[in-house]
Amino acid sequence: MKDHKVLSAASSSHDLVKRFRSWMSRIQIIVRYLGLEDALKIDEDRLGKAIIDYFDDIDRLKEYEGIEHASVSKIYAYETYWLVKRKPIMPVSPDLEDERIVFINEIACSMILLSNICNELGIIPVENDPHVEKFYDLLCYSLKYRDIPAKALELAIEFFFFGRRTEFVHKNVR
Amino acid sequence: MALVNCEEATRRFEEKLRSGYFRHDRSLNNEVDYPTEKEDRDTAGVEEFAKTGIFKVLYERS
Repeated sequence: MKDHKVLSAASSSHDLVKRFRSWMSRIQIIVRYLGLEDALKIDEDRLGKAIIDYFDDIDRLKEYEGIEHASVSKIYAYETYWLVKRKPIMPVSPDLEDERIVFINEIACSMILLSNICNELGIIPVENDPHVEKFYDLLCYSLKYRDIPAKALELAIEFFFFGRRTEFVHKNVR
Repeated sequence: MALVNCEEATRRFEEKLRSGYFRHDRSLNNEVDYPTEKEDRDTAGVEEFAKTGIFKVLYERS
């Protein structure tokens, strides 16, 4: 089997390994806090493939766009896209007591994406905030049932940042 | 439409291309190196988020 092109660049190898470790940690955090350690496992090969797919995409985009560093919105979007596509989180048993296990990859990625975008802004979502719940519902639904390309996710994340970071001037209402 | 000599038009295009006439406007950003500056922050952030009250609330809605 040929060496994957991404693996032949020394700096890329380091980034790949670090990203694998980061995602393994993040997924395990989610699984642990949901109390689902006995119900779920992480397929390391699927996770590895998702990371490689992500770097393939990002490296291609960086080369095409002539940029040194990708924006966090692009990173978050493409990570989410490839992780949902590869579905590394798997049920231990085929007998699913909780139907949410069927969509655990989409749910975990929604949680992690929400965490990341709030973290980037230095904010924490508040419990019982209907806006957060509505946003999460749409995000989770979209990842579960719609075919959302990574570039659309990137745009959605940028809209979120734009809304939070921009100073708007209210129109005078007569 | 006035007809254009293709060869001359192509030559003009090539000259402009070489001179940098066409700005590459997609690559303007000042982003930081995510692996060194933000990746560990985001991993720690996931644990912080998992400890919040809204974490379980959102999972119940999933």
